[in-house]
Amino acid sequence: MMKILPDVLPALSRMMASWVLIFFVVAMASSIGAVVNIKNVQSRINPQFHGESGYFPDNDQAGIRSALTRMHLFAGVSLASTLLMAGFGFAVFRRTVAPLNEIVAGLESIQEGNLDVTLQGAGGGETERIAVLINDISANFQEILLLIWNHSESSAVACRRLTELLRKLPDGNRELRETDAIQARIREIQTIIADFHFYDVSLDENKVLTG
Amino acid sequence: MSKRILIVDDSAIMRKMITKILLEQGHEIVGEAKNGEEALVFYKQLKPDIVTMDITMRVMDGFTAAREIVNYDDQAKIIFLSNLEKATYAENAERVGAIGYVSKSDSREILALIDKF
Repeated sequence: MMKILPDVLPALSRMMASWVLIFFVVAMASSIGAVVNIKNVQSRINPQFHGESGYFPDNDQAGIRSALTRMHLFAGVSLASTLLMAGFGFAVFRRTVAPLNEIVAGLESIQEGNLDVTLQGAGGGETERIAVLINDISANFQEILLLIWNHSESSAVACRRLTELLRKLPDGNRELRETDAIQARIREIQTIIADFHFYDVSLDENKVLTG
Repeated sequence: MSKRILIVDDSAIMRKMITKILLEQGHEIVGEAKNGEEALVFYKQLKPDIVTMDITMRVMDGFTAAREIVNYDDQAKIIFLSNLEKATYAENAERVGAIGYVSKSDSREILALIDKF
């Protein structure tokens, strides 16, 4: 039974979903049994015979009582199965929805620049796989940003050295304006990167440090 | 001489970048791990000549992983390859038994380091 259920559900949820299907089948079978016995009772009632106990022919009362008992039994089993099916179904729903809520909340945080978020993917199955992949994407993004940070910092240092040299030249004004513009662009990139929250990394006085 | 190298980095893009640099020099990439825990398992299975190790990783960071690997094999050759400030962390790297520390922004320096061993 578990093999026909999608892998998107973790193992425990697939087991619970199996029980939902079983209870559904039992409920349907019991309902059919109850309906059959109602018809059984109906077929034993002949309005033309008026015995001492009303409309029922005296010689078929036992059969009718037996059919009614079976009908009540089937109806009871059907009701119990339906209730159990509803209970297990709710549990499966919660086990599936709760991990998805965690993933959505995590993604909302990451898209705001919080790369220090780590998704756990509780519940197993495909939701755990999704959480792992999101963490991987976040790690990629962090590495690229930190690489850009380090390269831009090296470029800024080189630019400052070049600026000092240009200041010493009598006709270096145009080049000075260009190096100033480059430094401004580097600062702009670094301002954007500094707004991110990184996993186990902080930017302190232009240095990339742990914590 | 070609070396058998295990790459440890939580970023798939970084692993690709390092792989490209190392393959260009004729080295063999025997495995890739995305955290320190995987690195330890793969080290025991693959017995690489060299391990390139990132530092900030989920599950287990690079310094912890390096310590575990060196405890398992004191001949292990680990080179840290990280975006963290080299001046601050190179000493830590040496203390855990690594043979070198290279900044990712100067990642080609790793080739010279590998050739020494």
